[in-house]
Amino acid sequence: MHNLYTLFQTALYMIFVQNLVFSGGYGSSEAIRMSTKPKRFAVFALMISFYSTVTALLCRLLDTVPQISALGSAEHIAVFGTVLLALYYISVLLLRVTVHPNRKFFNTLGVAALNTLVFAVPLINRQAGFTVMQCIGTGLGSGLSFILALFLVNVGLRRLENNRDIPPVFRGTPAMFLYVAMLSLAFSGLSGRALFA
Amino acid sequence: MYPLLYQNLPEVFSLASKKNRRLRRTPGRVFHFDALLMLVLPAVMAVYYYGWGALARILVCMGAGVLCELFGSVILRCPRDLNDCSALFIGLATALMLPANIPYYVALSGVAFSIVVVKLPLGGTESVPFVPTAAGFAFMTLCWPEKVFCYPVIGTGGEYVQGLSLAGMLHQGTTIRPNLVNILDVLIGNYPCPMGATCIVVLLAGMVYMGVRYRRAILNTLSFLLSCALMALLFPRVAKAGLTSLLMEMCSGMLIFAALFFMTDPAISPNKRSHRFLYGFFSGIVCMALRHFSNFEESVCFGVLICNAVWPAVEIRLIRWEKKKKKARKAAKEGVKNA
Amino acid sequence: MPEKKRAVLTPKRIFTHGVIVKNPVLVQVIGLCPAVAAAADLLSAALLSAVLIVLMILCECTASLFLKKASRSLRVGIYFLIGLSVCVGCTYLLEQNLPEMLNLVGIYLPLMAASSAVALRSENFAVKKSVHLSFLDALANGIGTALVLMLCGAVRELLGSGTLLEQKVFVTAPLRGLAMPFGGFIVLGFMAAILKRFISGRLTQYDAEMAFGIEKRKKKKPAPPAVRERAASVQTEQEQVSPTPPPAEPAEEPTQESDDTVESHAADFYEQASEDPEEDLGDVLFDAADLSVQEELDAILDKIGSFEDILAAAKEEDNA
Repeated sequence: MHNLYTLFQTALYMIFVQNLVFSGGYGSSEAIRMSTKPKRFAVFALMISFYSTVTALLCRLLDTVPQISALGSAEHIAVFGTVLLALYYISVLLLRVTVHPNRKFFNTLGVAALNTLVFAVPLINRQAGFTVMQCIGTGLGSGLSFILALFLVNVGLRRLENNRDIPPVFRGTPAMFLYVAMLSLAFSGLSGRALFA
Repeated sequence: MYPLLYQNLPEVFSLASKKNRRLRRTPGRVFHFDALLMLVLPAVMAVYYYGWGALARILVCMGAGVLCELFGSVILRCPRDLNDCSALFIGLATALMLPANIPYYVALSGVAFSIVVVKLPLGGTESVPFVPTAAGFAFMTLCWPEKVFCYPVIGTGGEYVQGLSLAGMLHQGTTIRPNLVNILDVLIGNYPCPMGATCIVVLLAGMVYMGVRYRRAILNTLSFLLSCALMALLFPRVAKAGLTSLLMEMCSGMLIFAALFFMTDPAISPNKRSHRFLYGFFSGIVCMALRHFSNFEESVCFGVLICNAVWPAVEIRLIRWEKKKKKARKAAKEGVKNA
Repeated sequence: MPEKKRAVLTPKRIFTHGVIVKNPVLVQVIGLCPAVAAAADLLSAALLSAVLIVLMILCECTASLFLKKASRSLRVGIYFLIGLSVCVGCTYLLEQNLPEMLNLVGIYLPLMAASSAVALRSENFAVKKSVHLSFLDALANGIGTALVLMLCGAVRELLGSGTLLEQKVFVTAPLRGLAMPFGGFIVLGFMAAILKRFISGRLTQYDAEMAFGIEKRKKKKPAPPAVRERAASVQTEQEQVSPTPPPAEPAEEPTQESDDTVESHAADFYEQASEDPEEDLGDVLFDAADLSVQEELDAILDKIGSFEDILAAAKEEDNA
């Protein structure tokens, strides 16, 4: 019960207090670009959540091995990157053999698996010294925080599209950047000025 | 599509001169003029409590607002409309949200941020998606939290001795003892706090004015305060629950100020009455939740920004659900008729 | 229908596109993570820019030389592997020689391995072009990203702390909030506005590049009954006049188009899709097939000529 509470607490912390997209900038380009394609939200969000959770868990479990925990930062990065890459290729192979999805699905899978948000989660977990349950929580939480970011940016883009009063020089990407800046400003109220202190 | 509020306005003041009567009386224009009027009394109380330093800061901020609007619109190639009083309102509101001893550069940066970064590029007074003043205050909080929440004790004149505000006490979990504190002091603002949120009585008078002028907009304010009150009673931050928590939460920081001026912004406010009530209620819950979890002693502005971002999505779903219900009711009626 | 003239890819065009017209950060909105979060000062921005340029060149040249025949799933993994090798190497070198620099960039240096800018440019350009052009494109896009990163870092450092490269430039009230990600987004927003103003003034033909909105699929509108009947009657007359088989197949079968008009539409989509990072060849064909039935019928009518000509030809044959 205590473990479950830790997991949920960490997940909620990652969604609202330290939203990786708004408070850290991780995966922001994927979030903004994918928010223009609402039909792919659900699939993409599921993929991101899966990869961030499983990668976080596997990397944390590997870190319990004494030989691996004794390695330096550069070696840790290499190990975590290899884990993510292996997970990606294994999932591609399994999907090809079992489900046979179309090419679009695999394109989305590549973007969802190999991005800054998913790769940042195990590095952050190591820096913060999280336990296994907390690592699962951060993985889940970062996936959900990405979904929240997708949703909020999509709503913002719709409002900006319908807003005829935006000056011509700011229409398009400038207004979008400023809108996302306001979202980031709003979420900074929860995190204060310290990130993973 | 503009909110209906401006169609029901009594003509108390004529906003435009004879020459400019052809100018359209848009909701933003009318609202900001009225909001400016409502801020006059809090400004007077701020000068009464904190002296000429407060007046200097108020005038500097208002002047900075006008200059930022002028130069910002030229540099950013945005349309400019000083007649809508929004620049003056942003300047005055920003000054009144800050302590009386705030350095000038902090206040000026907040005003500049509100106008040049938020208001002008994102659509101007009528369609900006976020409350500019709230964004400016949030920016100042993140840049200089130690200055923005450093309130002077009232009546210390030019010395400005630092005191502990009600919001600061709540943030630390310290309660006030009702038998040692005069409730009247809390209501008239005889406590360290932001200049404009000092005198609750004056703000309540402003609320009455708002209720007379904008019968729909006041719904936002009242529902916001209702949900804040419920949250204060159900989830107190101090040991003494009940009325003490209610009094402290409602009178601390900028809750009533935000309820009056941020919740009623016509650019963001919904149209329908039921939606206004829900918007205010939802915003109150978010702001009070942020008060519990934020690192800052006052985080209402961050809550307002989050609600500005989230509410349109909620409203779209509400509208769709209402349309479905209407269709179902119509279909049922026609079925009954045919039968 | 007139054939669309494809632009020749000269080095000047590649550089103009990479640095200005289709700037990866400000126009294509890729590679934002280092710009927003890490480029809070000029030094870290410069370091990340250097790593990014090296990564881009390596990945695009590798993709152009060896990966043209590989599947996309395999390719993106290889880009990540190349990025990981470079970033781990840089991290190791900095750890040994300049640990304070490594503290400055934090985990954003290893995250460059997963940068979307590298993968997307390699997929959209390098696998379709020669090594020479891929190298130029990598350089152009790398320089475009580096300029944005360094300008962003310089502005944030100047306004945030009044320093540049840790040297005091002027005394200012520090806007410490600019060091946070929202400060990065604000600076990028104004830089994008300046770029848009420049493009609107000097390169008006590329004005639409900075439009950014939600994708809208073309809805299939059913053709009015009169047009459908006309097309059917024209087709039957065509069959009577000449023995050649009817030209086109319906739009629902995406990969079997043989109609010229549909193919020229597809060519337009190819060109668009080559710049749209999220779309692949499969998506391109899917989009080409999504043409409305009305356009299909118009295409058929264009091909077989006007009704008057057909009726006149039929009458002549009857008279003959």
